[in-house]
Amino acid sequence: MNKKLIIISLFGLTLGIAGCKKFLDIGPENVILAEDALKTPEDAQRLLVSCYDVLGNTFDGRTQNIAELLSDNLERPLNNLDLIAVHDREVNFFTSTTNNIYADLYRAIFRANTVIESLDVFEGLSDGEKARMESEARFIRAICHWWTLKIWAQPWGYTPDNSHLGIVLRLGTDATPVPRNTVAECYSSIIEDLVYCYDNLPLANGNFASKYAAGALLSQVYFQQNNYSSAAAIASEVINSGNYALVQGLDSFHSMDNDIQFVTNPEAIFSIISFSSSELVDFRNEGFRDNYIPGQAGAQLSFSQDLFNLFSQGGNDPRTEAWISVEGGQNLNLRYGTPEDSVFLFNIPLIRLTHVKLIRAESLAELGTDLSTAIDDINDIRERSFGGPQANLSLSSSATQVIEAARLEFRKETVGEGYRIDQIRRLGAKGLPITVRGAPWNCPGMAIQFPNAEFTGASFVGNPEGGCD
Amino acid sequence: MRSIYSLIATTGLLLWSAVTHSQTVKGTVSDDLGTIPGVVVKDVSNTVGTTTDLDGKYSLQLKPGKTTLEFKFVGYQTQTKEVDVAAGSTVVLDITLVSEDSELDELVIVGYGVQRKREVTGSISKIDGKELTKLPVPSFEAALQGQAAGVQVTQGSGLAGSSSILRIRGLASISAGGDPLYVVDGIPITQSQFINGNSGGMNNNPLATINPNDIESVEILKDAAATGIYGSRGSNGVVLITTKRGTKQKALSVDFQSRIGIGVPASLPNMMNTEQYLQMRQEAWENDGGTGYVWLPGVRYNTGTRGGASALERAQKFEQAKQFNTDWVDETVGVGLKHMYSVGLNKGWEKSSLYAGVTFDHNGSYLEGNSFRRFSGRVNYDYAFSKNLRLMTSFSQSLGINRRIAAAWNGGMGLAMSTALPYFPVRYDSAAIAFINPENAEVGDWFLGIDNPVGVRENINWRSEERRTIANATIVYTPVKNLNIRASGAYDYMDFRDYRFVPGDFYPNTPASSADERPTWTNNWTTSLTADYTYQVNDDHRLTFLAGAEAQEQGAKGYSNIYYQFINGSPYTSDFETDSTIRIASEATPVRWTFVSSFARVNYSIKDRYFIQAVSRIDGSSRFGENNRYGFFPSLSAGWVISDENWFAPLKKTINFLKLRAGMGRSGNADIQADAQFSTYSPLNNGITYNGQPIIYPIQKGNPDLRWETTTTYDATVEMGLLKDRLSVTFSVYRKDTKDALMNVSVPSSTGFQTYWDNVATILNQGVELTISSFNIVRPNFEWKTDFNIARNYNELIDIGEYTPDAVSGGTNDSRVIVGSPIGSFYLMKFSHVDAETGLPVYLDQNGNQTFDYDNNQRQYVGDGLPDVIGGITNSFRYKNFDCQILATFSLGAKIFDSSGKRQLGVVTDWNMRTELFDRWRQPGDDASFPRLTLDETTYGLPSGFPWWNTSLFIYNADFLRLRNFALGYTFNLKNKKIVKSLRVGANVVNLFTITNFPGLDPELVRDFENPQDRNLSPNVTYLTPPQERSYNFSISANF
Repeated sequence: MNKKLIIISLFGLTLGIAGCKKFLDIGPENVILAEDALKTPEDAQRLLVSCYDVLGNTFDGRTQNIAELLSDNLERPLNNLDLIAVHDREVNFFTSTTNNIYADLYRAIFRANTVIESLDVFEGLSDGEKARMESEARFIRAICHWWTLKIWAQPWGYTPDNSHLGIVLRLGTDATPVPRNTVAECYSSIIEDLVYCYDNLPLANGNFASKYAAGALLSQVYFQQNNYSSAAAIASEVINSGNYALVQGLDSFHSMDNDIQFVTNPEAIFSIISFSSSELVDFRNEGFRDNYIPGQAGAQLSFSQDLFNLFSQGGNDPRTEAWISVEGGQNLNLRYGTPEDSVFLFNIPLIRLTHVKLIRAESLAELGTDLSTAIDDINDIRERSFGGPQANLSLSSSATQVIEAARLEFRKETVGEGYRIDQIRRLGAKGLPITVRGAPWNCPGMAIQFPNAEFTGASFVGNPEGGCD
Repeated sequence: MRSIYSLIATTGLLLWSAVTHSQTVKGTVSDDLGTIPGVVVKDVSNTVGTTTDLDGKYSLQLKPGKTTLEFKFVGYQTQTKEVDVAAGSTVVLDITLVSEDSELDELVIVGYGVQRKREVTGSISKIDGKELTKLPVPSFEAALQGQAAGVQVTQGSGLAGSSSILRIRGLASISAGGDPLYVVDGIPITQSQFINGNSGGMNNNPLATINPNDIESVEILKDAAATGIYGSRGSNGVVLITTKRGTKQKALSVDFQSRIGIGVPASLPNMMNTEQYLQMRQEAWENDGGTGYVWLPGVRYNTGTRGGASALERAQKFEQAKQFNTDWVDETVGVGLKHMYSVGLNKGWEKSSLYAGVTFDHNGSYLEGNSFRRFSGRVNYDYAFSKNLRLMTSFSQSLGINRRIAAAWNGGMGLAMSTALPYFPVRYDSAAIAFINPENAEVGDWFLGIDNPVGVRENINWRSEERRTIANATIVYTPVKNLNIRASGAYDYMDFRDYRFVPGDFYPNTPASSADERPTWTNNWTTSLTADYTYQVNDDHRLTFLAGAEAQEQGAKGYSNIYYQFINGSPYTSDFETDSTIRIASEATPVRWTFVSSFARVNYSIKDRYFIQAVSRIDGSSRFGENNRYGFFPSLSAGWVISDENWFAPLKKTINFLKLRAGMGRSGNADIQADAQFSTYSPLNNGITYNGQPIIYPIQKGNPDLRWETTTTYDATVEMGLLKDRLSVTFSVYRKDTKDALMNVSVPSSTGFQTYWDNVATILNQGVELTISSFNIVRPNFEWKTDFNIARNYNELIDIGEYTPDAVSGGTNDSRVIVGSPIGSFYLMKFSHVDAETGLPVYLDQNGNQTFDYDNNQRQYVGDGLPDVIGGITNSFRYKNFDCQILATFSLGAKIFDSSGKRQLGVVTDWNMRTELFDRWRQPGDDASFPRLTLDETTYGLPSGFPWWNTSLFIYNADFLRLRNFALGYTFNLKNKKIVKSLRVGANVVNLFTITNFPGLDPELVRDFENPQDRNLSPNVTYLTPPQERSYNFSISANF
């Protein structure tokens, strides 16, 4: 009897332990469960800032360098194999540098989508705050889609109806693998986001996205579609806002922003912010800083001879000497630091007034409607460069002359920033006889390959690799 | 058969009768069935001996007086008898030997209990602890190699303390841990190799601190009938380690063992010298159309970068380079010193018993500056309070100190095989300064164009320390006869620290000394309560019940890094915290997981020859969400001792034992990231800001529907003993079906995440195992025994749903999951041949068409690292007091991917190359192994910026037969046994030679891995992995 009792009680105990549910309820430590993470308006703002945080890591020069390497502005990189693959237009799906940038761009998009989808979850968020947050999130989504489209797809006009493959549009947090959208779809989605942003973002928003950041970006998008009237119209609104002024003098980003807390770049419309305080130094410029500064063997990235010749032609453009230093057989880019001064902090003005003015100038000249404004825009830039009117376009310049000047200034002013490739593609798609380092503007490798992981689980069609020899 | 033995015996008799004197002892040896020929009859001190003749008769001449005779025959209990023979007399001594069911009565640890071997219905291999101390290995598990059928032990690299990989009956997991569960005295111990990640080209091995001298036996549970009692964790087998315990009422007995030895590399790489490297490089340059001299990596030119430097400067540097020729392999490799001392004592009293052991083991590897030292102590103490209440305690403490050096991709010998070019100096002299042209360096400075293996070794103080405590206590209460209730509590604590100190004056531009410290503390608690009851229904029917419950909790916390900075150039200090001026600590994410389980086992024995076992276990794991938290793991098995059937009697003279057993059951695996089920966000105060403002961000996408990975196993086995166990044979067939195998799949980056845990794959393992043990010769002064095991396993990935082969990968190792192929297949471009006309490599695409284009989209299965056949053969000899043991292990059917070969034998880069490359194409018509040399990867059809020439050219046959251990020993005849009771001296060589066609370093290899998935998927991939060592050792063991 005793025996049975013991056996029964033992089984009871066994089940008792096994049934101890609490013991198995172990949440992860030092993190917050997703369902508990997004509660308060502060959480919402922090999540939103985390999108900018990803932008800060992605547009610290890394992304711009990829776009720039596809153009004709840079020499073949010194020895970074992945960057060499980009330059040689032979990115394959294992190229980790570009794969990581791609992942970062979509990480920002995922977070932005999370913000948008969670707006009703945060308790006590006012409608005004919701609208601001949604529009900031949509700005981030748009700018990331835009740069992804610039690098991973053939441009607007590559096919007559733009039915060729663009990129994956991610407009929600759903994680199912999806195929690529067409370029036409990508443009319309980006424009839709930016128009919403333009209508809802505050006029000024500290270091974060503002109405005119969306407007300026929108002008780039329209311009890339050769939609000159829309590009010029919105560019004018940005310029006429009076919020931004050209920097005087030859702006090297690093010298301008040495004390970033105190000096604001007056022409920056949207910037990546490096931050320093007594407790913290937060660099967000390594992509530029580290690749353009020469080490023992030289600098990883340097200007092409083609670009150097463009600057030095005529021998009187002060930007040549201000921005380029010829050392050890390389054309070093001084805009992101000098060999002597290799540790510094500077913001990266991702969208700035110079871009907007040059886009407006070229658009107006293309439209032939307001040449004098176009000429003024160009001359503003030239006077800054030359310190006087000696290189100005004459007020009687033809539309063609204005267009040519706008294109030249655009290429010079944006060196290193990843915009030259847009120009090449736009002009190529317009039918101009343009080649990039000997290859057609639309050769397959100009749209780089997607990461290997993107091919998982869906009938995903990648880009052809190579083919630009 | 018997007649052959008799013949041998007669010959023996004739030999021995030559020494005839007048005193004789003679007689007949028989058993219950009749007389036995071939029985060894000898005097215990080995001076005289004989064997019985065909009629079982013997006769032996002795000296007058008392002599102790020993009667010994395989399958019988050895008998000793003292005879007193007066001078000139003849004594008749007939002996009846009692057959010994030793093998069958041998107790086998089965998990939460023991069973007689005869009753066991599952597949269990038992390895005596003595086998583990026979050869010096980096860690005890390496000594299991070749000892048990179906247990693949791939020994780690030559790094001190490196870990071996055990695969029991193949591999049934992909992303979840594929190693067996290690259980020490009932405690599932902390066994992750990734506590310190992949640091310095090595994974920390938590098994290295276990002292092999403390181990009584190791039982390897292979099928579900055996592993079922471990339920959810048995999918990949269970290794039960039982430590030594004291014997009751025993006088003090002390065992002493010591071993000293040296280790050298089992093989060395054939790297090029300066002249050879320059010649190859120049040829590549000229092949590519370069004129003049080739530019040299690591050298600074004044007139331009790389090939852009002036022809004159290139020519100068090329000539200057010839002054230098550093043999970097020689600089990193030496002779490792090993010495081990172990004392174990065993004492028993009336109510208690004690085993205590201390061991110091210094295991120096052949890599200069690398050693693993283990200090360990153990006390196992048992005390009986009363007849029905006993306490059993175990306590062990060990300290493992690994003097680290960088290896593989991280430095040291790895650099000697890669970027340490022969024209680089170890230190600068004026000629080297003129040649290398560094921006700033003085005579005597270390050359730091690479992470100079010698400079790093001599300046950077790097070591890991692991303090391990394993303690447990069990109370056994026996309230009534046949009922035992056990309550057990166990604690396994690990304090692991990795320290790396860099003096400030070593690297230029970093004047301050700095250090990194990575501490991890792991706590592992297990408690269990079991009850077993044996119910003897009647003489023929016996039931044994076991029921129990167990709970386990394991947690780890620590720092992913603590960075210290000291005042400029400070020397090494042992107190980083006090002496540093800056301390930046990054806490690691703490990990915690729990298990609760309840289990029951019923054994039903009928007539002691029919055995049935049913096991069920229910496991709950914190790793799974509420809906899938509990898993049910049943198994059913049966055994039938056919040879005990009456009708079998006529056969029994030949087949003395025949048993058939079969079982089926389910086991599982839950060894994945502890919080994979949760979608998580960073904590609020994560320290990350943007624009000075705090952020929170999503970390991972969880899968709340995760569930157990389950394996259903079927096993059928025949065990047979022939000629009184002179020959014993075990043959098994098995099949393991794994479904819902956990995969950490890559998801499209556009989802915002990189990976996601899911139950995806279906895996098949099936195979056969054969074990043969044979006493070939048993004679008074000579014995020869052979143990042989061989196993064949077939592994196939049956299904991975919609995923592609790239869904999971083994780290950087190009191993993938390909449906229809084994797990961890190499997925590469197929290499065909070198085109004799152009010297270019010709590839084969997926359709088998030849092409010059290397295309990653055309990768295909080109082999896998899983062997088809593995095994071991041990021949043991004894001649008089000499003993000799020869263990050879073999593996067939696996391939090796020499992942570093693609850089050492491919595009000419800043890597040094191997001399096999001399067999390259040079002119049209050449039939060469390697294509024309080039500095430009696109020559080989590779994409620009992609010198990773991942082709099947570097897939090799990994078949090998290795003479794992060759040991000789001598046991002294001690006249006076008062103090020293036994004494043996021995010598052995480990890895004396290896027969293989693999042209690389070592056909048996374990490289460093990124995570468990990499460890599963990338067996037999080598990347600058140091080869195993060959060691020469002397040992002494004594019992007092």
